[in-house]
Amino acid sequence: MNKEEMKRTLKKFVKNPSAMIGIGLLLFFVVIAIIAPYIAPPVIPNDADLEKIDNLLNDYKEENKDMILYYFQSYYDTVYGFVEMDYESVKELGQAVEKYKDKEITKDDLIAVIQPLSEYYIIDYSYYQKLTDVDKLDGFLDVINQYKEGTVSEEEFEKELKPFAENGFVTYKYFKEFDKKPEKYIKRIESEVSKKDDLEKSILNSITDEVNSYDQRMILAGKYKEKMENLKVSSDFLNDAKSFYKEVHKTYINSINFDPYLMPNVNMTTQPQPPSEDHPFGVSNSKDIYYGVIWGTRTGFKIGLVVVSIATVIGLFIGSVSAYFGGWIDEIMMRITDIFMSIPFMLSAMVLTTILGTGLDKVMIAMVVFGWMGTARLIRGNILQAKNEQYVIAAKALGVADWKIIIKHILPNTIFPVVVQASMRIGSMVITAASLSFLGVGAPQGYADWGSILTYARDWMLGGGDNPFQFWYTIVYPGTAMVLFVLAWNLVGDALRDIFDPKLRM
Amino acid sequence: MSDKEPILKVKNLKTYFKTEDGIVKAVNGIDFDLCPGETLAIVGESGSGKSVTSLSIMRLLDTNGYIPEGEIIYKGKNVTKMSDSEMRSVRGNEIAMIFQEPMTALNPVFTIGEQITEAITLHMKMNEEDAKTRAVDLLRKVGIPEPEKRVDQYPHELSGGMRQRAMIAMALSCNPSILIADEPTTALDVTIQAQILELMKDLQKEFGMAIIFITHDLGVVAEMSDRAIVMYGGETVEQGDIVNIYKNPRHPYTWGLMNSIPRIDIDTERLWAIPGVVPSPLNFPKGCKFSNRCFLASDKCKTDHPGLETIENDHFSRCWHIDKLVEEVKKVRAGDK
Amino acid sequence: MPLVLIGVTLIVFSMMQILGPDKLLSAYVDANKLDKISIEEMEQLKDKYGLNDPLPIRYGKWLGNLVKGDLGWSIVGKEPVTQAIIHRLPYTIELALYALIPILGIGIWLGIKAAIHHNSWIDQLIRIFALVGWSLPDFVFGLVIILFFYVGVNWFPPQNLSNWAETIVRSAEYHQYTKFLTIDAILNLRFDIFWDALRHIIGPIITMSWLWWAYLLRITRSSMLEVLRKDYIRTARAKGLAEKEVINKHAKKNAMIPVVTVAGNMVIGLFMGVIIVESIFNRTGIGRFAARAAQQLDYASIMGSLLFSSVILIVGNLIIDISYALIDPRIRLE
Repeated sequence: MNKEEMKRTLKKFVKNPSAMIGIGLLLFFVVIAIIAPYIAPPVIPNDADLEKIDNLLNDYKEENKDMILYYFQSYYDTVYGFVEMDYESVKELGQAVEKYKDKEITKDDLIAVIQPLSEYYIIDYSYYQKLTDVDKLDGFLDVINQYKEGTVSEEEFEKELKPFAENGFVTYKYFKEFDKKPEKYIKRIESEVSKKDDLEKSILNSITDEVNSYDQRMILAGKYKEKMENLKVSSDFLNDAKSFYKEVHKTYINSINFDPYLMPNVNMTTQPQPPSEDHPFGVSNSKDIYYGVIWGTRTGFKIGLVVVSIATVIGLFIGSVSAYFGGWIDEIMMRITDIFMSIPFMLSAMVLTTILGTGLDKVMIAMVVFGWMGTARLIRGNILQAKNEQYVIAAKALGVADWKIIIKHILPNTIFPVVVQASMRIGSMVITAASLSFLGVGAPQGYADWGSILTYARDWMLGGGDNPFQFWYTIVYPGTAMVLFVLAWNLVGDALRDIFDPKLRM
Repeated sequence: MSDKEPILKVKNLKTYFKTEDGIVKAVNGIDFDLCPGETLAIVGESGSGKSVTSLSIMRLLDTNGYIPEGEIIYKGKNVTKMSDSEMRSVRGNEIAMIFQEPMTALNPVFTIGEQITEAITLHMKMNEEDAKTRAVDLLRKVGIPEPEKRVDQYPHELSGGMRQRAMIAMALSCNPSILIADEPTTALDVTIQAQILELMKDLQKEFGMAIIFITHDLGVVAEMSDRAIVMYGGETVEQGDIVNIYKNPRHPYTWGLMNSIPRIDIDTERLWAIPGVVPSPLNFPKGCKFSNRCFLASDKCKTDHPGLETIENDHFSRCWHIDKLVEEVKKVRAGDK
Repeated sequence: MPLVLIGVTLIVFSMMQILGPDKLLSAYVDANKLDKISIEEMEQLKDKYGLNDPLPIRYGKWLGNLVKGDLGWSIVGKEPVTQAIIHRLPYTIELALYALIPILGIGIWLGIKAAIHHNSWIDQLIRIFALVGWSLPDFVFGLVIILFFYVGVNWFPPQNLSNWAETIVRSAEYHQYTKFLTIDAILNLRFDIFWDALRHIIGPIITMSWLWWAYLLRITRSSMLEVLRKDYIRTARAKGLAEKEVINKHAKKNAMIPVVTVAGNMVIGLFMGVIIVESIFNRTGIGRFAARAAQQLDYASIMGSLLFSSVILIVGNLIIDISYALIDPRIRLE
């Protein structure tokens, strides 16, 4: 396609009213998605001390300075206090581990250091447990030897062995099938048991890691302390305090894994509440519909763009390789494509999501796995056609590398239908994902997703009520958002198809 | 030319198409008469408007095509003014048409017989059985072996030449007085071409219909026709008796076409090719439409549009340099050698 | 075709392997029982069902069971999966067949109308209808139908039958000849039940039709447009045939060829559509069975549904290939 043609095509596109409506709607949704944090600010959970600091800073009065400093100190105590307190003993443990590794102290000495720390829950109790259990493996080796010599009966042997197997030190299967093939399994058990040293090493390593993380936290605590001291003598207290607060708050948010896509509960009753000033689209199952619709826009884009682009790339790859090389490669790949096409898309996506577990990423994986075949077939057909074009034959005759021909000559001439198809599929992908959420197998509970909000609506529709239309807002707002979003993509895709499909050009 | 009263008169016919890029003047004022039993050839490259002319006569233009001016008078009635039902009784019955691509011109989902009898039952009011007998007769007449078997076969079961024969049988099924053949042999092998042309000549003798023969192949024209119209850019550039056009071409385009085909009777060192291609209908030069490809073109040709000049009785040419052509041609030939 | 079937079983089987033997055990043993047994017993059970065998052997056994029709135990259906599917099948088939009538009739009719009046206002209107229909998810549309026609005027209630009708249908005097509710009602001469069943099925049909009208009319329209540009249509016109005959006889038959191709998609699409529609309208059937199985992590049931619908898709496509030949003589030859 040359420049002149490109210009004409563009002109046609701009002149096409439905394409423009589609583009306009899309832009609208893009803007909504971008400004979502501003028009529907997520309710960020806050620490009690930090919240007080925030309030005091927002309405700053000179006399509150000490109060602010007090709350900073209080936050320090809750977050870093224990670290400071336990630091010495943890450090000792670290040293003991090093010493033990260098064989300066015995294992009993090490265990004596670990035990109190485990009992006060300063470090995970399992370390103590595992370290002590490891030694029992020696005893187990003895049992094996005795069994070999014949001094221990098989029953006794199995009895001894069982606790080890149950604690995961030996593969359970070996124990279980022991009586079938004793020789084979005894060797395997022996080899596993002899890995005792490795096992111990890995336990010691995780202890060292834990000790090191204490070091990190101590450094953070030191920095915090230093900044607090600076703050006390600061000349521009208000600004310094504000920036310090921001920093602290940020680390706090990071530490609690806050996800703005999870719709917060705004009240205690599941019964929908009609639109009000605070919740302009109403409330359904304690969730603010407005919040869900706005953040659902982001979810929609995420699903549509990610799934379609990955599926398209996979399809492009498979289709182009298949068509270009032909022969048995083509045969095999197209058979595989056929097989995947014989499995109904939505059901297969649903099944795979169920198997992988809940979560938006799982839904997207499932849809990609069963969503690439259309593109593969389309691009294959197009390339087979393009392959016989003069310029490709010429390039081949000149000895241009295969992949270069695909990328330089064939793809640019066959890619437009793929783009058209992709833009048309975004809408249906979003519908499928929403359908899955609607059925309760897609996004997790409370995720900001149009399909999930509509699920709530269904319960209230069939649950009935005296006034038939009282819950209208549970359908209308998320439903409209969804329909417009899908419509936007379809309008654009339809216009693109009209322009690029020479069959329909007239 | 025949002395008989013309059966079809085309006067100043114009056919335009509305497209997104503007109005395309596919045919821009052509005139001719067609007498019963004679063969008129319309010659030109693709895009010259020759096919559109024939479709205009049949009123089979695409929905965006229309006839803003001109008359097509068949047996005293203006085709452009006919009602749809009047037109339908003319189509296939009085004026029949065969198309270039026998592969696509036959409906793949109906048998040959079904497609031929359709017109017979419609126009000749025969019952199915008689119509089928007639269809078999027609197939035999157009030289299809085993017509009783072929009549129940589908188009894809026949070869290209056989299909074109079936098309001809279909066109002749109602004894039309005019047969329009739109490049009937272009898609066929050379040997088959000759057979089909021979067949058409024989059938014309037998049925006595007039033929409008549309082609880009001047060789075919000489064999088939009595008179010829050479079209370029939707206009007649030369028109006249076939002997005149052959022996004494008076338009550089006709001359170019003539010399671009190998001939046994004239000894040339090499073939002549008309430089360039037919421009897109929206990009023709202002003056003479052929001026950008013409070896005689002067400044006048580029600005002023020539009219159709009479050279002698019934021989017309649209060129500013009718007289110069003969001399120039000699010079060019000399230069070649 | 056998190759495709084997491929499908391979894909389903490998999806199952993601689950691991512990979860797969739920396909054979009641989940409540599974919680109570010891590790040892669990291992015995796994052995019993061959879940600890090497992969190829397990696949072979699984395939063997499949051929015998043993798909495992369905938690949702509280019966073997095969039984559960067979019991629910008539409801779904009845719904799909009823839906097929308006979908095919109106969809194709609209598509041809749009093509004949290409670029006129009728065409534009139909295209807008198609685009909006295509963009309207069935579960949104279904909810709107419920909102207006059930909650609003109570014309199209959810579920398969009203409670009083259900009681009669389950009683001994009532003969279930075909298991299709409407047909059985007529055969039992219970027109009140027939009317009740019809009322319950209209809402789902409208919900399902909407999307497929949009789909079918698009295909028909573009196929028809293409055919109308073909040379043989010009030939037909040149014969002097009336426009109506040109379209109804010459164009329609050719235009239907690509439409038949997508009919395969449609059959399976209808089947997928019932997942949503049956769930929204609380109808008993395979669709809701699959949806509920997915919600309750009833792996045996969803795998069974997936396999079952894949087989339907493959067989459906085979039937379509055959019916192809009835329309297109070019294929008949090969």
